[in-house]
Amino acid sequence: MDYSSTARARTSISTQVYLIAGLMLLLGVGALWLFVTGITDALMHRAAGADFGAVLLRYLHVNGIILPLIELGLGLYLIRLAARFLRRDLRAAMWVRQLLLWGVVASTVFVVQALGSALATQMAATEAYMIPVIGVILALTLTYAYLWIGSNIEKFEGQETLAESSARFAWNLLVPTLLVLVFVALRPLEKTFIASLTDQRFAAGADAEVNFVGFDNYAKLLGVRWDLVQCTTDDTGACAVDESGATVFPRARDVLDETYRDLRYREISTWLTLGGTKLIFSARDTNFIGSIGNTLMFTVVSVTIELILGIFIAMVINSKFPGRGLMRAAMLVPWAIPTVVSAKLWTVILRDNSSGILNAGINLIQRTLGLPEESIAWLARPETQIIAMIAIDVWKTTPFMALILLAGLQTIPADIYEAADVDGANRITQFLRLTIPLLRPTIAVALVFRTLDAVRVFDVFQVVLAQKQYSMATYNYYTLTNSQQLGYASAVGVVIFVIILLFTVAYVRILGVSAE
Amino acid sequence: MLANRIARPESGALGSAPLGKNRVWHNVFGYGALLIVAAALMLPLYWMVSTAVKSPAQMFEIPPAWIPNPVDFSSFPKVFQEVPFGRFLVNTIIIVALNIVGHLVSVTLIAYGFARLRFPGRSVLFLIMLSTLMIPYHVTLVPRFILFSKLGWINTYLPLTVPAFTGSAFLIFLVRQYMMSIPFDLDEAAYIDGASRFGVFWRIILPLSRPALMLVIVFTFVGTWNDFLQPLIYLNDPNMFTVSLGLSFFQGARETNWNLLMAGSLLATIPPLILFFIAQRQLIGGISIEGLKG
Repeated sequence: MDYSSTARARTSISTQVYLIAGLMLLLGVGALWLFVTGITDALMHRAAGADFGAVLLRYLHVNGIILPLIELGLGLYLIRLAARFLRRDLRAAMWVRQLLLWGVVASTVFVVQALGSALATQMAATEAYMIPVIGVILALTLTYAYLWIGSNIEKFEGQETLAESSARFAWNLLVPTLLVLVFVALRPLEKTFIASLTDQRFAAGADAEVNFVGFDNYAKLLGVRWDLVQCTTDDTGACAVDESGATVFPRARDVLDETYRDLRYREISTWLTLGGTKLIFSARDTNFIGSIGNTLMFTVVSVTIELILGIFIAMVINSKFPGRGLMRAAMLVPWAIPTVVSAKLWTVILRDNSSGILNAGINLIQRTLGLPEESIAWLARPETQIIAMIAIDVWKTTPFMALILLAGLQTIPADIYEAADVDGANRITQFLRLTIPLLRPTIAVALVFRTLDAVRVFDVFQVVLAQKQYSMATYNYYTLTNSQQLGYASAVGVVIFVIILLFTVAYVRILGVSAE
Repeated sequence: MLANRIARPESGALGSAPLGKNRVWHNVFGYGALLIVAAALMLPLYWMVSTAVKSPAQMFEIPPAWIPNPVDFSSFPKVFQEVPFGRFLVNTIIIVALNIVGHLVSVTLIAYGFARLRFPGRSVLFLIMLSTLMIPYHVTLVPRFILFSKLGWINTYLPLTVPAFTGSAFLIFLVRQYMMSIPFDLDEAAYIDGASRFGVFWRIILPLSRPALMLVIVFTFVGTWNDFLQPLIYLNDPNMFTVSLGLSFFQGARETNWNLLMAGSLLATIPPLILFFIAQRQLIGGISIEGLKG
């Protein structure tokens, strides 16, 4: 054994360990530094006399909410990892190696992107190529560190369990998606939430002043109240009655306390009338409260019908019968037609007078039965408008439901039906006792997804009803485009998100779509 | 036996069993209900066809003309003359193909991670991913556009294709649920036989998930084929337009050319229809074939 070379090898190994641990430490401290400076900056502005709202808004605009959390978490994690790496912990080494690999990938992407923009802008060569060159050096350094750990892994102590290596494997699969999720989904959501705390306007000039208004937008959006209103009395002290015999009530804003008028509450509906007293329901934004009602009604009814029809269709296309191939394909067709086209098509079908084919059909039946012909103005009356929306959605989306359920039917083993046949169970018992319970996980997926989609319904409402009646999403859209209230519209978006979240939590609890 | 456990020959609740006396009534009832549902689904479709071949004078007759007279098929070739419809078809097929490849790669890997591997933070990550399904689409629209325009991707197919390679929350959810229904004994048996994690994924989980993968293909196809908003926002050059965007040429601001709109829509429905026809065989009984082989 050549002792000197072993000794040299050991020192060089230590150097590299120190270098890599140092790099991790540096990155960790850097992340924490960013986190801390964000806070100290805000504190300094507060000390300089800015009011709390302005300071908070500034902090949120500069840092956001997610970024500081990532900085804090990543910083602490990297520092701990560096310490464990220094102690020659094998598990830490495996994770460091993993992080280095991601670093290599990230810097390569960065180099490609920077090169692309350098070529596109045709800046002066030296300046434009500085950034890609730095990226290449970084990528090469990280690659070296990665390879070094790989070839010196035996110098580290401890052992990685199967569970730990599978955890690392899983994170590898998920990291790219999560990064994209943060950028295209969570970050916009965060920006929306921040905007909802302000009175910002859409497409206003860059110098337009933006004020922090706290939760005012939400208070206005969700402000509802119930009040008891006494009838107008006549001379005798009894309730006044109009010509048709109905009790006369005063306008709510004339008799209730001042806040009712000042906050611009308006009556939506009467819930209960008892003698000379009625219970009325009012809201500050009647359109939005109405849109919540419309959307919930639309969601519950259409998803229920789609589920029932979907199970039926899925079972039909899962069974053998003559002409099934064509039937299977044909049943899916409504779903393949672009929504904009099918919505337009339905406006023709549902037209008010008998040029609409639905009314023509109804008239035909009425004529055959000898009844007077009456057309229904499907798209003009509030109560039939929502029915029409439900009909269009059911027509279009049931095939989609059926497809998901069909895949679920494939996971049910056939032999249990044979066993049930032998035991003499009839078809209905088999359906209720075998098919439905075994299909439950798939039903859960279908329900969750359809509900999330239905609560966000936009295009059908927009094409067919425009501003006659709102869904939550179309209300969101029109507050943004028509009245330009970005802050207020953002609050609408956040409320939609929260409502969908509540639905999802309920489903997860009830149907057991556990994350485990 | 492995094959027996998961074998699922084609069978169903509606008429696969030999016909007994009461089965006949079940079938009569079944076919009756089937016909009603099918008619309800087909009626608007018939209206599309008849509108496409009607003369403009007959379009808004009262009462509506059920059978077009005269039947005029000239709208179909006209669709190709008025706009570069063939070009739109090719463009859309390119985008759809890239999306399908992207989703097949990303969704299967990520769903496998969520369905078959245990790791700390799994539930939290899964919920974060699900929460992206809860964000109203219009909320993310503007920030997304800003992101892509900063990258210089406007008026290219990149914003319409690259995101597919990072997965889609809904499809991941779907495939994960499917993969979770595959017995875990299979993985363990394979690990004992010395298979790697990727080997288990490639040789066992993926073949057994075939119906779910067909769903990924069908959903991606239809979703991308009909996507209107994203091409509208990201594409400016009419030569790069997709079919659904091209159809909007027939909907003027003042009047809609119903003949051409319906003829174009029908033509646009043919590729998904062909796909359904091919896919329906794969969607059904995919497991049994693979299970018996292995």
